[in-house]
Amino acid sequence: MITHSQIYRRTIAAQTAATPPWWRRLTPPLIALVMAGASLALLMQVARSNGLTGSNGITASPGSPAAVQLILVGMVLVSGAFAGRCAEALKLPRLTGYLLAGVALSPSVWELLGAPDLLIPRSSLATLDPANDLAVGVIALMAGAEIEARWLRQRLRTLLKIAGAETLLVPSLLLGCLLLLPGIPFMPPGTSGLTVTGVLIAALAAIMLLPNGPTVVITVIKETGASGPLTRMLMGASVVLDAGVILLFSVVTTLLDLAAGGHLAGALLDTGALFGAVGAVLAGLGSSVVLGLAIGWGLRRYAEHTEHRLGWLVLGLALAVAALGVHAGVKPLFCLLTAGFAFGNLPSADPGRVEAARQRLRATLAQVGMPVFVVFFTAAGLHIDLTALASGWVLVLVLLVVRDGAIIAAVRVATRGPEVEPAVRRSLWLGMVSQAGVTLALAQIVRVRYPGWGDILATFIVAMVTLHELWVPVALSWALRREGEVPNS
Amino acid sequence: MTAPGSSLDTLVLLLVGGGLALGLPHVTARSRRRFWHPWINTGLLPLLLGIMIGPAGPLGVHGDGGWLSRATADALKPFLAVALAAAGVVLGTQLRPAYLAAAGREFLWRESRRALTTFVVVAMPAAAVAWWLLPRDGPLAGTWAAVAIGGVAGAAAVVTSQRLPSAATHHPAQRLIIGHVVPAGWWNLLACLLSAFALGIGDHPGQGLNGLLLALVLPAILGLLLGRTATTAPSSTEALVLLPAVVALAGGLALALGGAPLLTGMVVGAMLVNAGGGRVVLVERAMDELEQPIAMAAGLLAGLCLESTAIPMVAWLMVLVIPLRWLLRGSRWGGRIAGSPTRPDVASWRARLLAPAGASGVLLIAGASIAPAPLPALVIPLTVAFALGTLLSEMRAEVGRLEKNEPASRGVGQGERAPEPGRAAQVTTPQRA
Repeated sequence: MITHSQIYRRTIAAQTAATPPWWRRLTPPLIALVMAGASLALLMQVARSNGLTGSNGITASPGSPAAVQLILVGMVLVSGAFAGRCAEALKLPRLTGYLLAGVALSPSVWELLGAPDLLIPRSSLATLDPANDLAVGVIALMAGAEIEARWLRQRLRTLLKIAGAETLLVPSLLLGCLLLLPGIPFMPPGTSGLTVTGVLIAALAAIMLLPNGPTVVITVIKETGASGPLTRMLMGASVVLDAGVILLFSVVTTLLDLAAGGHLAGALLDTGALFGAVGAVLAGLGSSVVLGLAIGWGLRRYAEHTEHRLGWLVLGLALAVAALGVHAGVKPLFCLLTAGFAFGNLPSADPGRVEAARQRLRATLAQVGMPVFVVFFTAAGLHIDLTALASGWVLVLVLLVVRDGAIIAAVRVATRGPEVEPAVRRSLWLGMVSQAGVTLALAQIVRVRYPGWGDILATFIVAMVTLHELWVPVALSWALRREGEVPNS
Repeated sequence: MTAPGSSLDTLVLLLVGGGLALGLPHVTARSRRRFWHPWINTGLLPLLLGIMIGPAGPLGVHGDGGWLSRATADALKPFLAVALAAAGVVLGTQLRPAYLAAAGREFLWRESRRALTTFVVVAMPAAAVAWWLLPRDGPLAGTWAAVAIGGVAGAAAVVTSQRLPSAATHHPAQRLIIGHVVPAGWWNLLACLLSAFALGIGDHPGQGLNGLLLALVLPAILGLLLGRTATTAPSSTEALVLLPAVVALAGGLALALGGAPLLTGMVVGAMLVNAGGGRVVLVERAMDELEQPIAMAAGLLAGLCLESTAIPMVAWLMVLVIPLRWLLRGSRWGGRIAGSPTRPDVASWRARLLAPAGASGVLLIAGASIAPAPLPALVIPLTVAFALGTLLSEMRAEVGRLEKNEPASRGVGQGERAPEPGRAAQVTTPQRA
């Protein structure tokens, strides 16, 4: 006869056996991570050394960019994946592990340690940009595929309220802060905050700090398997807000270009020119939506009528739109977001078939998304510039406090109505303060378009993104668990 | 000639890539006829398409022919190297002692002996003729070039489609696997390994065997490290991340070393599975999905990257490899010294004689297309030979079906797969696994 105490002891013993202690869970991936780091060092030396020189016409010289790029992508994948497992062993989101792996491999860290070229030279970081474009494309498709038209119609008012409140409050407070604070490093020499160019640069910085990170939000949601009102509202609000930010960013950069050429006053007086500039931005958005609708319709037809795997097609589409769309004035994020939305929501005579196709697309995106996420977030960690962060940490801290405080206030005000669920009211702000893909993409555009002050501004933005990426995923997954939206939590 | 990344180049790449991704699987799925399967799934049709629209092709809008500029074609070469390295990794993962033991020592000895004899019978005279006819100067001249050309010729005689002989579909699946699929897979593996070695020697003419040895040691270390790393990957999620990592690292290392990407990939793949043990099964499963896209991508890129060099007489002699194959597989004396991987009890002598080269043949051509000169000159003659071989084989199969009044169905083994001798043997002989 088995007594209750025996059953209790056996249960405890079984539970203890099922979940080994954290240090035992951590050891294997940690060893793998160290091995990956060692391999990276070895391979990078091989790729850049003058050891063997082939005569096959591909490697005209040692240190071939393609070789360095491939080795970098491979090692980022391996180290990111095992760092993710280390984080999981410590009950943290995998995403945090990817980021920390990137920080550990970052050139700025190794520069501080006196071995700048041991792992990854700073000049090689740009080779990961195509992976970033791909990640933004896949994530946009993923976000679009998750949104249902019926839910959007029901919640459109709340979504617009949230996006409107944030768009009004956050850039205004940041703009005021940037105009009032003395010695802002990214203001061009001789440009005080009260000149037209100074105001426009400050406005640009404020707008760049506005978007949240749908990449972070969607990755945490996918990782935790969360579902519920907070999850849906997080995805919807992220997407709507980013749409507004891209529009504002395009308008301000157009005005900055006019100011740099000395034509701003004329353009502001000439309403035709101003409307023309805004019209060009709207035309870009319109063409993105039209192309997205076409892609979504075509992809759904393909998924409905063939049994072939969608993975290669989805990756090819995301890459093609990211790489080629820019030349045609198409915004990849909008385009693929629309494509994902159109895939699941365009009218059809056979809803069952559409649902089956949507499930196939979701499964495919979950599969192809995994390596893409690893590269994207590890690369984000690689870009951290500790030197810049050390020199301007006060400004970064001030901007961070003002931004996050403004977002919390805006979200609280916008979600006050009775139609909003308590979970959304309590925890939505945690997702909205995140920063990732869109902000990094905007920073890259500014870096290329405005050399000099653009570089400094981009460095500050990336520093803020990195700080947010380190704590927001942990807090967000905790919040999703607290609100009961994560199964088995 | 337009700059790399010009609008026309972009449009051409988009149309070709999109067309292949969307159209060809549709054709193979819809078509009730077997005729197109070996052309598409092996990468032969993409190869022909690539040659036609690439800078070496006859359809020209650029000064040097083709719809794609030379600069863009050159920019595609690293992608071809990655595709070949990926194919090498897939092939290398089959070199696992457990699989080989499952296939049986007797089987391995018999088939290796026959495949190697076929290889030597063709490679030796080809190398001798090449040595005699090739110029004595240039980037790859004299002995090394002759060895490389001989190796490619020998491998071209060995490679065989794993698609089952058309006349044999009435046999039980297990008999067909043991009688054709497994031996053909083993022959292909040996052929790829031998040709990769030959091309690898050619890649380091100044360093000879030392360069080749170093080009083997570093991928072996990488494969070992990745294999040990993979042992800590418990789920398919990690496998999905490790797979592109392995392919990227193998391709990057091949580019960094300047060696034959197929050889680098095979060494990495072989070390990966042997160091990783059972846990690498997840990575292998994920790799299986890559086989057909790799063959198609390698074929297309090989065609697009081909340089329009003059084809010397010695290269055109490569066309003779196909009649040599027929001679070795069809005639009585040829069958005694070499032969075919297909057993007589599963296919008629005509089917064995006309068995096409398959996906491994396209990989062979792709490997030659990015090797140093004069090896790219072998691409057009080899493509012509393999295309003719495939055409004759399919015509023969069609005639056979008409004679027997059989419906034109897809049948067993319609899809071309890279060789899996051990895995197939493991399925068929579970008690030995």
